[in-house]
Amino acid sequence: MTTPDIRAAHAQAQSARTEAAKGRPALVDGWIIAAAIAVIAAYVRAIWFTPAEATQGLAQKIYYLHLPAALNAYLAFGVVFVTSIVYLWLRDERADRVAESSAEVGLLFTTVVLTTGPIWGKPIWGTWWTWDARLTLTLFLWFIYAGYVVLRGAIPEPAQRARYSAVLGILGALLIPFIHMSVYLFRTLHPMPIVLKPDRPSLPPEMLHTLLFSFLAFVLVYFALVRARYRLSIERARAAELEAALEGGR
Amino acid sequence: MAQTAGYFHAAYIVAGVLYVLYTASLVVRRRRVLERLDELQRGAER
Amino acid sequence: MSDPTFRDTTLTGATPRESESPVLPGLLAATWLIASKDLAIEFRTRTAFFSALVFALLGLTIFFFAWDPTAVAAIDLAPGVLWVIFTFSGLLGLQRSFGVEQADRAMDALLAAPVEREAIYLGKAVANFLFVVGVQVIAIPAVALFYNVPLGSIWLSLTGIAVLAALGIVAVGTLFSAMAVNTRLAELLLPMLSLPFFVPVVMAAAQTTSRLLAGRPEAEAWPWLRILLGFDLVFVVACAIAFPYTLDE
Repeated sequence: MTTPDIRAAHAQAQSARTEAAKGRPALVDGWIIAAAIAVIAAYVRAIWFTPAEATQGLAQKIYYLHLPAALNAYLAFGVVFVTSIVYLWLRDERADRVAESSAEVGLLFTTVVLTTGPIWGKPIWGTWWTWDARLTLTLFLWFIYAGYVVLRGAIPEPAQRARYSAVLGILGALLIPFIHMSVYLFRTLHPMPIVLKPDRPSLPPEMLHTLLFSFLAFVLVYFALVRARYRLSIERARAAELEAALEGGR
Repeated sequence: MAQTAGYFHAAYIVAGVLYVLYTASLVVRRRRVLERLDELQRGAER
Repeated sequence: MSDPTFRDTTLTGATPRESESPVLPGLLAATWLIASKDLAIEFRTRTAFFSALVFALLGLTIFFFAWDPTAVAAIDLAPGVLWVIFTFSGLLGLQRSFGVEQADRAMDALLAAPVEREAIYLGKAVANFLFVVGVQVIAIPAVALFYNVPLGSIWLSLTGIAVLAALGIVAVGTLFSAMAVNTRLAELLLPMLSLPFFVPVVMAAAQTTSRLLAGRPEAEAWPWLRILLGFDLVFVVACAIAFPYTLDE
């Protein structure tokens, strides 16, 4: 082909692509935009409109990120647990889609907890990692989520994938109390060396409000992301169906 | 206290990056699936 | 399967059996039948047991040479090494548990037989349990020998701990083996899914062994044993109930 031919073919392909894109729904929906605005507002409020805590300094503000992420990680896990039971009981694929979405978003939040935790811990406690009850439990949550996501990736057939994931979702929830008990027992019998141990300051109302605002913003993020992931799951399933139909037709 | 500012910035940036990356991955994956759907639908029409 | 002559035989939805025998003896008989089938297969070839055993002994050896005896006393190290090796050698046996049913679609034959689905799970779990305990019978004395720790002085308690710990990992591992074998990443998924569940078991076993070895009063070990007992109870029941959901029926 000569260069003008290649350019012409490229131009034609580009216009076909833009034409096709016109019929499609917007990639980013209103919920995500709303969530993004809420998070930016929370960030702004935490950074500029909340006083820094006296003894711990600026690093204490990491808490406004860390705690909401942790709460959402557990919320997401609760949703996975409940929808897993619902799926095995009713075999409704919508329950499986919610579980799938909540697990992925839960993995995201858990990762945030496990990264902001140490970054907060180093200035506040003097050490990057401490096997404290909540952080350890979150680590195990991360392992269960990761296992869930890898398991789903390894099963191409939808019904089997849903069943197996549901079993893991339920067993994982059963494991959590045992991890909690074990870590608690371990910690009461092994005093962990902590260099700095600040007293828990009682939160003045401004900080409490920022925390609450932050929490609400991130719950919105959870909802928006799960919704978007749910939609992706439906579209993927439709594509898989079409592929199977076309393969069968040939 | 000034020393802890670095950690504070790091945490906010790391968390922000994680959220943005995940959302971006959702958008990219969705676009790929939608393109695939278009292809398949055109293939079915022929 | 839409074959009308194919009967659904589970504990909750069992069709009436011709023999009119009560459910429990039927369940136990079927369990033992499946367990002995698996053990017979293993006994004839012996490869899995031998491999798990060699792996355990090798692991003990590697840990020994990775250890600085001037920094850590044997009595502090040995319990941890014992129970970690127990976990990983157990995984080898668990991998094989449903792996044997892949050849010649043996699983379908097993499912077509008139046995309760829970019996398949329990039978395999019993076989795995004996496998794991079998490895321990040799590995525990090996630890005492290699690390020069007086495990013999607590042999009775240690037997109890070994039984409870084996029960725990086998309960969960058998179920995950059934699931993993039907996926693309079987060898990766079994450890990845099982190990988080093994943690409370290993913790309880190691902490208890450590305390008993150090001559602490047994009352100190009791909270850990309670967790282990609770774990065994919850997960044997939960995994037996969950097992039929992993079958493609």
